[in-house]
Amino acid sequence: MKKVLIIVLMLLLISGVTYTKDFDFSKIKDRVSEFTLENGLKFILLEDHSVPIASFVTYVNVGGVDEKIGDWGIAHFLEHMAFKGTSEIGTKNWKKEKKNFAKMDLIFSQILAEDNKQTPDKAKIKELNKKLALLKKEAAKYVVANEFDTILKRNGGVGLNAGTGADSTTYYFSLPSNKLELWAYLESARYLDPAFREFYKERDVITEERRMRVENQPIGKLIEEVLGIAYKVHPYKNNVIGPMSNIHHFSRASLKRFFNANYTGENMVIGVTGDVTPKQLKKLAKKYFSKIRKGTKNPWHYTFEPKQAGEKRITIYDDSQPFILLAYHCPEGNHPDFIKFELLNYILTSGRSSRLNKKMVIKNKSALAVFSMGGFPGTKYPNLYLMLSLPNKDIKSKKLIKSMLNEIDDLKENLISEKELNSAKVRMKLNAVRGLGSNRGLLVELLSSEVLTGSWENTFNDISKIDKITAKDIKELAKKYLTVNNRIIARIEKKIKKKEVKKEENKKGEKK
Amino acid sequence: MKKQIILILAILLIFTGLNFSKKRKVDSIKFPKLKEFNIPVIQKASTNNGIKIRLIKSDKLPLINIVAIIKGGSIYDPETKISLADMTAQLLRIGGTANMNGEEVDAFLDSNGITIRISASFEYFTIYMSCMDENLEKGLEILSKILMKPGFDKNKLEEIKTQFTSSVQRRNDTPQPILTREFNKILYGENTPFSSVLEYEHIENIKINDIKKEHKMFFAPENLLMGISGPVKINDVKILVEKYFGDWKNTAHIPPYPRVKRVRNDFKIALANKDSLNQNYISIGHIGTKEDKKLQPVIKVFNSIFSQGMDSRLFNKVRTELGLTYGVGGGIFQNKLYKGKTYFSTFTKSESTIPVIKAIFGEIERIKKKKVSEKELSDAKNYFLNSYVFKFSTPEKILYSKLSDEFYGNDENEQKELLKNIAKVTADDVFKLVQTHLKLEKMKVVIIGNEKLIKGNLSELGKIKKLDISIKPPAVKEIIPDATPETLKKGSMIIKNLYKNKYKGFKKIKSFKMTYDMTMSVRGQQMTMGMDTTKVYPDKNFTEISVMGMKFTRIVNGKKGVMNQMGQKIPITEKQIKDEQFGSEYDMYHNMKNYKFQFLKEIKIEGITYDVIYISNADKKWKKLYINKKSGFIEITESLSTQAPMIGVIKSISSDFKIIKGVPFSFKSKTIFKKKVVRSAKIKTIKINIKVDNKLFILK
Repeated sequence: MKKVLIIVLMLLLISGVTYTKDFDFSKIKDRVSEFTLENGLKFILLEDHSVPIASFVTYVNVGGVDEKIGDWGIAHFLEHMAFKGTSEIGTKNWKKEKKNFAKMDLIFSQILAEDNKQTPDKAKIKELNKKLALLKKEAAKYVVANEFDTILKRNGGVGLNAGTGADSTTYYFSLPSNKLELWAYLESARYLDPAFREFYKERDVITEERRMRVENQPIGKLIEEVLGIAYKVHPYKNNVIGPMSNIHHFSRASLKRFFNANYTGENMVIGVTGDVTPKQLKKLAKKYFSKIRKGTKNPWHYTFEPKQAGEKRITIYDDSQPFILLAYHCPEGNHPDFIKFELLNYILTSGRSSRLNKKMVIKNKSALAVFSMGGFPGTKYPNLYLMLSLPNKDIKSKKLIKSMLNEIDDLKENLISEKELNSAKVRMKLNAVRGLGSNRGLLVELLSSEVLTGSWENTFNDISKIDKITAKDIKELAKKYLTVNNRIIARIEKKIKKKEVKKEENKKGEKK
Repeated sequence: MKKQIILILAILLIFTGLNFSKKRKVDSIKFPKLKEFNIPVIQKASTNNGIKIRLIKSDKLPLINIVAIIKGGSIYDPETKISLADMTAQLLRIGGTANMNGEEVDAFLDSNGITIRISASFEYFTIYMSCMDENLEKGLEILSKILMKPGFDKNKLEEIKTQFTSSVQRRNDTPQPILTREFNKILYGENTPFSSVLEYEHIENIKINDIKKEHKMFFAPENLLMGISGPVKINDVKILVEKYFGDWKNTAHIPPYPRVKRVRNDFKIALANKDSLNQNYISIGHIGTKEDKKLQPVIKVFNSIFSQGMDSRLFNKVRTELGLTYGVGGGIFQNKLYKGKTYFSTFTKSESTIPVIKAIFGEIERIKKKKVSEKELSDAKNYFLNSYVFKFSTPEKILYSKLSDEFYGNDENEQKELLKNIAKVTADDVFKLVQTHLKLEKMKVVIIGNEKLIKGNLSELGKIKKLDISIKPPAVKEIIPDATPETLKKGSMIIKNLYKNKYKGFKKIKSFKMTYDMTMSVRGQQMTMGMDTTKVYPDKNFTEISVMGMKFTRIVNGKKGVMNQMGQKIPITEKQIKDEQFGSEYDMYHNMKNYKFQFLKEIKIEGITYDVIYISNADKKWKKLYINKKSGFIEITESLSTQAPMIGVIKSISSDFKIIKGVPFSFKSKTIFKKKVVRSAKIKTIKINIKVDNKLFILK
């Protein structure tokens, strides 16, 4: 993702057949400024004074990848709690509310203690849950539901949301620019003074989110399984939302611990874009964000995924038509090969003249759609290159997998033509230029460059790299990474009767 | 020329504070006035043949974006050709031009970094083009060829049809699209433009000529509204458009808008079961009204308070307070040209389906009983007023909203008027609105999910209808001519004659016991089963099946049935039982009034002459009978199988007839599907009108 911009910049500088004008990137760069508070919290501003609006992005360098096994899902849970107000916002009586929290937490700790036993006393847990339910009712009395949202909304706030990924957690919204101080106050307050309100209810909301995204979406299920088998030891194994059991077992205290460790000046970057001057921003940043603890930036993991020893396969039988996913281990975003995978997307699946589209969708009509992407589930560490396809009606998945693998073999054996390579580069360029049209999109690129490469300016560096990608590089890339031992073949198949599954298993057994 | 935004906003910042004992920080922040700013002006031009061009100049990037809209779309799809608009749009894009084939167009676009997309939505086609500014002329040139002289490549239509066929097959994979589809069917009635569902047979029905007609009917210069943004001048664009689109003749003929018909449903709840789910997807609502400009501001305020955004009443209740969903939303929606929907949607773990429905009903009751608070009202109004500036956040946004206004014939000042009127909305207005536009008794509840997991008694909420979401198999390709009184008379006569001759025993038959061997062919492998059937007319059947040393039983008794298979009991549905009875010699004789018998033709197959009779019933079920004119036996039947994996027409061929007590039995028979024998049977023993203990048919 983050590399897209680099590619754009680069392509725009190529004196190609189709694009000869110079595009002055210094203009964009000139609109960017930065400063850092004493607590290490960095602000990046991308100015645009054409309309009196401003968008805000807080980028926290913590995601699913930073969680220990028992904590899987906690970063995402925390993201939900960031909307639950402060000691001032969202409460009718903070003092009473706090006391009520303490009572609830005590009961819940007793529930956990019992539940964590080998043979828990279920009657006791039931009793405790009853007590907890009563306290939950009391808690509701003190709450002004979603007041954080209401305040923003009535002030003209739009696009309030957040996302948790494997690498990071981001929070965003936009306001008319005259409300800059409201942003500074609300955004700082939720990290300085979070209430962790409605904890025991939000837990249920998150279970519904998990059901929606994973358990009731065939593709959601497949993705979770693929991560599980692709990684043995690296925390990318963890599906960000976490397993159901964890969601039920987190305590308010565990969330607070995780929050304190990760939501610190050194581990966050804040981006602002729109009708805001550096002077305005600096003044408000100092006033509101200086009290955030300095902390430390999350360290690089030392556990790396060992080389996969052989091909892995998984098939899910579900009430769904087939779906095929090939995954190959590929390097992290900062690795020089990563950018080549981005280009490979345009050669293989993006655009009607791309290889898989041409052969599988258009020529032999075996696939309904093909798609590929690098950087899954994140780009911070070595990750997966995914190739997806949906078989057309009455087409066997095996046939489609074979076609996909044939295309990969072809990449390894033959050089792609210059024409094809250039066409891919041109399309990549156009897409990326479109991306520049969005201030917020660009701002997120700047923030992730800052965190993942050490400086937002790197977004504008490295330009010459893409220019040097040759047909030979693509061939080498395929030979190096797109190998049998390095891949996972995953698919969904329409659920068939138990008997037939057994039969098929028996058949496979015989072959061995 | 540049226009300045009118800052009504500042006047309207009436904020009613909360009653807190001490003033909170958040309430004490003072904001400067919103800065005045220049809104880029939209420039207009038209070509001689009527193409309307709207341009917004934007110099930020060397990029041109074109969005053109053409009146048309799936609302005009003929009932038997759903997706015609969609297919037309796609074929224009990939079907080449008069002098370039599809691949050449693809290669040209891709290598020049020109993106063109053509799509059909409900009320219009959208054409999107994007390229570097220096490629504008190249882009417009190829776009003009695509739109004016499309290639209509038949092979490309096949590609599209393959894709559409697959999408029909995939339409039940995830719950949300099922919900949308079924909900529309219930609100607007089945087979309307507002609730149409693509089926295999529609895909079959659409031919290249349909696409050509559709193209001629809608794709014409005076029906084209083109919006452009980028670093270009209006005059330069006009010259280019005139150059490449100037010869385009007007052929547009836009049919009138279809109307929404009244629908009556006698149930309250419609439920489609999908076992694989553990979360149920729910929509609640009724049909709404056409756009009423006076009500629009009140509706906006109501929706914001009640069901939109992350602090609406429904969100606060169902998600935040009860923790029973991740998302809930909806509202009152009016459309410009047809009746909209009033509805609320959510999803929840299957167990909590009933509490969630009750909670939504509860909130509807509450807002109908008590006026919204002044705080809620001012929060909602301030949201619209304060966020108004975001309508101008990018030149594209301004342009697209202008295109939409023009398409629907909205007044220039529509948006500003709306905003002014929002400021005037009172709690009384909202109260009146909910009395007239939220009708609990009319609301239907549609649920897609796991029925078994629902806790409590769903029927306490009202009458339940079970929805059948199975996918209709492809229709038979042969076209059956319309029945005439003559053909119906002749058909009935032939059938009646059967029962006077070879089939006369069906008057008296009471029961039989038969043993036979049935051989099934699955993927080239054959499996033979021993069958032992005891049948007592009209509706009892006991069959024991022996295969590979195992025994299964299948019992049908009246409208119910069960299959006992390795300790598992699989119920046989009433529909299955009915399907099996349909067209049987016994049923035809005893329930003749339920059938239409249409004589189709006389046909000679391998030297034998047959009368072909097309039998059908009120449910549109059908079967074709081939009656050997000489022998008087029904020797061949054709029917539609809807049971996977055999979906399509199956053919049964009977031979070796023996008449026992006036009833003909075929001692050898086979079933053919897709030209392959999938089943064959041989009768071993048979006894007629025997004594049978009725205990045999007790469903166990």
